[in-house]
Amino acid sequence: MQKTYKKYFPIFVIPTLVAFIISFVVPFFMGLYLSFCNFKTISSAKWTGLSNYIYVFSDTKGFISALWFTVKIALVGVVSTNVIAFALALLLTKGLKGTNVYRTIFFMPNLIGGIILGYIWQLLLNGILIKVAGVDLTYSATYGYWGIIILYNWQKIGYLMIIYIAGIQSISGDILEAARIDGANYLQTLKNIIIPLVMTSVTTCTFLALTDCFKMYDQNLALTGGAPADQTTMLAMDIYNTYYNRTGFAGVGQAKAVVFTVLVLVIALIQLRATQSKEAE
Amino acid sequence: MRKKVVSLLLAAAMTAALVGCGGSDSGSSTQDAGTADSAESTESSDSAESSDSADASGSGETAAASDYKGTIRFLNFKPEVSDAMQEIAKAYTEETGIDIQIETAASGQYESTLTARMDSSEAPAIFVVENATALSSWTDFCRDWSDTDLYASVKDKAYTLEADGKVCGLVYVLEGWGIIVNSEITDAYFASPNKSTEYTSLDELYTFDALKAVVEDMTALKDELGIKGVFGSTSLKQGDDWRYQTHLMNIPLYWEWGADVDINGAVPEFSFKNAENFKNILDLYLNNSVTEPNLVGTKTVDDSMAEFALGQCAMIQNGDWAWNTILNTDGKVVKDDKVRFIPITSGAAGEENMGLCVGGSQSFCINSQLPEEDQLAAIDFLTWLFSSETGKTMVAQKLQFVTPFTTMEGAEYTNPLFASENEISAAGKTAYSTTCNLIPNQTWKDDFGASLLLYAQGQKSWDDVVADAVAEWEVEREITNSTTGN
Repeated sequence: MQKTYKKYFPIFVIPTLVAFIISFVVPFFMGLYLSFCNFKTISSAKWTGLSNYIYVFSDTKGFISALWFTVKIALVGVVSTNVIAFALALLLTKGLKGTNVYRTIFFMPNLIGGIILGYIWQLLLNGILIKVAGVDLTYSATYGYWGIIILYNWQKIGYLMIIYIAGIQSISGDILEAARIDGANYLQTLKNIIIPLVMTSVTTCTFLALTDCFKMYDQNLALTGGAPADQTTMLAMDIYNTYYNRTGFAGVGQAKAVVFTVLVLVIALIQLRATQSKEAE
Repeated sequence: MRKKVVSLLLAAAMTAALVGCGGSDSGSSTQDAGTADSAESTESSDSAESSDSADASGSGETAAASDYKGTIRFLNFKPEVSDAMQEIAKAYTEETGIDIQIETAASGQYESTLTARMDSSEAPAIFVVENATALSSWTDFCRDWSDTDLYASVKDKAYTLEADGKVCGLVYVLEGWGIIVNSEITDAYFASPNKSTEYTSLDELYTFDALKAVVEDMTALKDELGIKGVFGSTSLKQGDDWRYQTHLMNIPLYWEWGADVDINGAVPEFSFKNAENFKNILDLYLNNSVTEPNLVGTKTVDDSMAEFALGQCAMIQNGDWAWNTILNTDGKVVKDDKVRFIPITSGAAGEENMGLCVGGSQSFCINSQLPEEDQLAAIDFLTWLFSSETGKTMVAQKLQFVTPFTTMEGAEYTNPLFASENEISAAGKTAYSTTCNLIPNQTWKDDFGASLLLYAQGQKSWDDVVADAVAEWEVEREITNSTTGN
């Protein structure tokens, strides 16, 4: 069997591998090279060494503040989406009436594009804020911050919920039954059986939510656009603005993008290691 | 169980990839709605086009325009004429059989779209640069216009952009901006027995004091006049704030630097000497508006233009290009012959002799990196557009461009704002030159716009707005001047 796998390995893998190299590996290394250059179009790049990177870290107003704002979004966003999604998953695996309908409804927001969601939530939140506080979303970065958190939760919970549901359903009924016979109450079952057994799902979900938060662009653009005064600009948007809004700054934008990639990579690896060590085999 | 999880992960990864693609698509769809269509159709015609051009270059002949089998690609700068441009493309294709693909990217998106297209196999043959600063990064991509008929027909060589000893761009539209007035409403005010100013006509509103007195009195009488505010919403939403951070900024820049500053030269130093003038007129807009000052952060230019078209306000600061938007607003009540301009006044000395802000701000460039036949076809198209009878009518009535080309003389315009512009210049008023061309870059504009929004919301003092604008100008001025080699 193993031998057969080896024999057919190239046939199945090479097409994907080629596509992966062309559309991912090559652009990635081109991007890495360009981050050391001053350029307008790729064909006109001139090598400038480390100056782009030096600018990225000396310009505290742009990149660093965007990074800080993104971290704040990620901290709250990852925890809240996962906790709520897990709670919903528990609820919807209890065999309640209409479970499938609820699952579908909770999943649906995930099918709408971020830009549209952003505009819809902008209208909703502005409607409320204007009634209650007499101002709009652009008034304070706090409004923008919680706006993004609410929007992100609304969009992502259904998706993570489906993953958790699959995890919970794959727990063998024998184990739960044994626990019940041994006299474990619900909280004990949850803590000692369900959670350890869905740790693989937790790994997946936290990973997805974390990378999502760091890469967030369209929701940010449509909901706040960075207002007020770039205080709600997240990393991806800051990179875009750097790249296009100043003549001669494409290289700096590219350097920011490289720093961004490394950052997300490192955080994701740490997080994977941390949650994987808790997975029950 | 392990397998289940694995297959689930796979499914999850696939969905994530799908979501990812969807996300980036919707990101670019903030451009014009027409973009998606044209992008699709260009993709399908791509293979055919590349084989065509291979044939032509293989035979070693320079194809005459009529034999031209390729596609002329044009990256349009002005979203308000994107429909009209499609009509023109269709007319040209019917007349000559040559295919034209027009893609529109609005001003805030133009540089990014152009940069992306230039690196692709679908590089535009005709592209637009906004001013000399924007030209500096595209000089190598510009074909020299100097031996063309179109260049020969430019009235005044001030309407050309030169760099590296060649004519890189031809200004194709002269635009004027000021305050657009619905004179039906102002006439009702001037005729009102309840008014408390002595002014009786729009022709008297050439000083800020007069404008302020009339506007404030009109606000007091807004119920009688049937309006929600004198001015349309001050649209300070990010991306919709250009009427203030660029166009209104033209006024204090003009007064600071004077009429003689070279608008195609290096970015000068800036002290915001006339900040008080800017504040005067901005405060007047904010305090006499349809929308409360602390709610302007969500208002777009389209919102404001709709308010004007629907008769909810009497005045709005915008330019002659806005006529299309007004005309195409559903339920428009403003009458065509009641729309006219008055100048933007701000309380500066000598402003009573000034008219509108007028200038050519966008230039056509031909992409020199394309095969020669593509470039010639593009030039033929533009020549047709500005000198054939069909083309001229379309420019005058569909695009509504006032152009600097002698070939366009005698064309009949339908935009009432042009008539008003002509009246103002005929009355001997001096036009403000487009000093806003010298604003260093989009970063400065965006940050200044954001500052203005905070000021409107009462969260930032005017002194801080001025101080930040000046400090940031210095930073961006150096960045821009060092990249343009000035």
